[in-house]
Amino acid sequence: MRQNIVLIVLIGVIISALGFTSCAPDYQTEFEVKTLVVPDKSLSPIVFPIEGGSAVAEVITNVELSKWSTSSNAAWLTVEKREGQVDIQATRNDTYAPRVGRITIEYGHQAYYINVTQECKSSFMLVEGKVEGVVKSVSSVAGTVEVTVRSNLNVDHVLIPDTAAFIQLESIKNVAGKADEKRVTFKVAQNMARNPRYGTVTFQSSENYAQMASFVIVQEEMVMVKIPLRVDMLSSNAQEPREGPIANLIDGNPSTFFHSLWSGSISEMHYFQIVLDEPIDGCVFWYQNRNNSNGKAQNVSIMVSANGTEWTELIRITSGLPTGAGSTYESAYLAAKAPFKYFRFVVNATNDGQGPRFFNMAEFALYRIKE
Amino acid sequence: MKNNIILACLVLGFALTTACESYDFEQEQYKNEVGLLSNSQMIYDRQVADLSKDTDTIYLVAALSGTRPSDQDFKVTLMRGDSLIKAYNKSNFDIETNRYARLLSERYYTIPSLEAVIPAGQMQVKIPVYLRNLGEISPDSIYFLDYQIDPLNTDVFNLKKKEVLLRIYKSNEFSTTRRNVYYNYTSSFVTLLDLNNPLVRRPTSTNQVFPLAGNSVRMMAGDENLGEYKTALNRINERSIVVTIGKQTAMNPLAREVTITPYKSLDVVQLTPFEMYDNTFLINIISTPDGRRTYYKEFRLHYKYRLKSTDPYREVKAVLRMEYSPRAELL
Repeated sequence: MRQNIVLIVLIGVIISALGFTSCAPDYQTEFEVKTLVVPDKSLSPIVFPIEGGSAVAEVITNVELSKWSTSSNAAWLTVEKREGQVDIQATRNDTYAPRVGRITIEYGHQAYYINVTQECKSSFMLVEGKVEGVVKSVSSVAGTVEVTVRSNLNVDHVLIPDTAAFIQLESIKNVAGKADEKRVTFKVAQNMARNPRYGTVTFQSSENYAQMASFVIVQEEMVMVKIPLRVDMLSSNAQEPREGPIANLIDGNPSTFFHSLWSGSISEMHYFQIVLDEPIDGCVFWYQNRNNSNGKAQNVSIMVSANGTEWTELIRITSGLPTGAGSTYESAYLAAKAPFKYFRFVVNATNDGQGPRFFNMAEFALYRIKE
Repeated sequence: MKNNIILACLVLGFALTTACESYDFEQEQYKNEVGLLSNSQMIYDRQVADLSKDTDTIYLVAALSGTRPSDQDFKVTLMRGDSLIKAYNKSNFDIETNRYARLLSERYYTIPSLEAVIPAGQMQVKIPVYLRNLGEISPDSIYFLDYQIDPLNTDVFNLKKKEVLLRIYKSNEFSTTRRNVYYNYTSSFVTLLDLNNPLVRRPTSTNQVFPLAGNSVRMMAGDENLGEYKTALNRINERSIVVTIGKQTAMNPLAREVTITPYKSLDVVQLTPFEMYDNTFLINIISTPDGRRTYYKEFRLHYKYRLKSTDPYREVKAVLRMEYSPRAELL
């Protein structure tokens, strides 16, 4: 019995020993984990001054120096690795624009990036002493606008928007004794509209496109003045002898009227003519119909001449002319290619039919641009 | 009795010796036959030529079928074919002849040798095709090389795989013809430069970008619509711009200067850089505070264009952006 107990205990001990040893690992391997860490504080963006300088990024690693790498994507930014750190060098920035670069520290597929910025030389660009907000007002007539631009940059771009086609760059001239100052002259075309117009001119430099200065040109609307007409300026190739003398066109009384020939006939289209005292470059005409229903001009040629012999058609109006009794019409501004003294209102057709045919009119006026 | 025992021994001996004879498994294995590698439509379209290289190489692949590699060399000789491309055009486009795929002109490729050998023990041989000047071919047309096995100078070949259409794709850093590549408009403006109708639009659509040469791409101007691609030829010619990517900017190595020109007849004028619309191609890396980074390819453009000489210009200030993975591009 005793022997059995000893045997059972012995077997139990042996089984326990086998059990414990079976839980032990089959083999032992020494793993050395290679790591490379750039601490957060070294990953902060670096800002270098204009003069350049140096900085250090800490590298915590157990990787051999030859097995990790560092690089920069910019020529002005150089890097050099040492045990536990990367030395960063920036050269001087002689430009007028800030520059950026990126440093990479990597081991295998693990990479850290450090963004680097370098400040630039300061620049300025002013139009009449301001970056923006200067307003140059000009009259409606064609002329020039001149501004002074001060800048330490090369002002090589003058931007005139498409919506301000009335402005053209004429010249950029250096100012004697002032290296950073230029006189810039623009041509401004005649404003033919009855509203003022605006254009913002912007100056830029390729040395730093972000540095801009601008000013606004405001051109007044076209202002018309009535040309004083006298009876001796007026004539017609078809005056009706029985009624409607031509003097009635300018008597200021809409109940009187001019009437072209109806009691006879001529082969020419009926017209009336005005001989001005001074030549003009263009005009606006206005008229009021006679207070009846016939003889209303519907197709009109406006002929002009400098000498009364050579005529050119300024415009032919074939639509939009009024037929109502006492109604009025005002033309757009009609610009001539050359100044003229002679003006003809030729009626090619009326609401009664094709000319030559009589027409009538109560009042007529002619306007020119106020200078 | 003794004779019976001898006879039994002989029968037993014969049975034992014949039973050891092996079965001829050869008759149950696939034969070794030469075939040209292609998909079920007889097109091999898995290779893309890199436009950034003066010459890039793709391959016609002659493969050997069979269960086991052969223990002998197989001679392969190729010759030009034309039946497949005709079948391809007829079955895909029928009477729309203007959409027909084209054979690549010899001006754009060289095959140094049409003869090759599949060595014993190997399953394929690659016949190199050197591609060049692919910037001159349209990214909108389908180009193939059509080659077939020369039956007189090739060892046993598979009749069903004797001809192949090798599709010519091209790609550069910015786009590819292998798939549709879209850039998204973001923070963009298209302004009609007309005082009477100063319409400002904010496109948020996409713009399909096509590779032209190694450093240039084509895209629709502004927010012009490409529409249905198969009928877009006139729209492409009339409304597309070419963006040519140049050297790195001095200010940012991740940005490169671009030049904007018309593709065909469009009136387009490149404007000076304005704020973020600085006429660059930028690798824009946007990092989040937790260290993750998102990579974008971005065209930052400032230009104006018009479709007719009597129209007012449309000013375009655009950021065209496509997210990408730098690691995936290395694959």
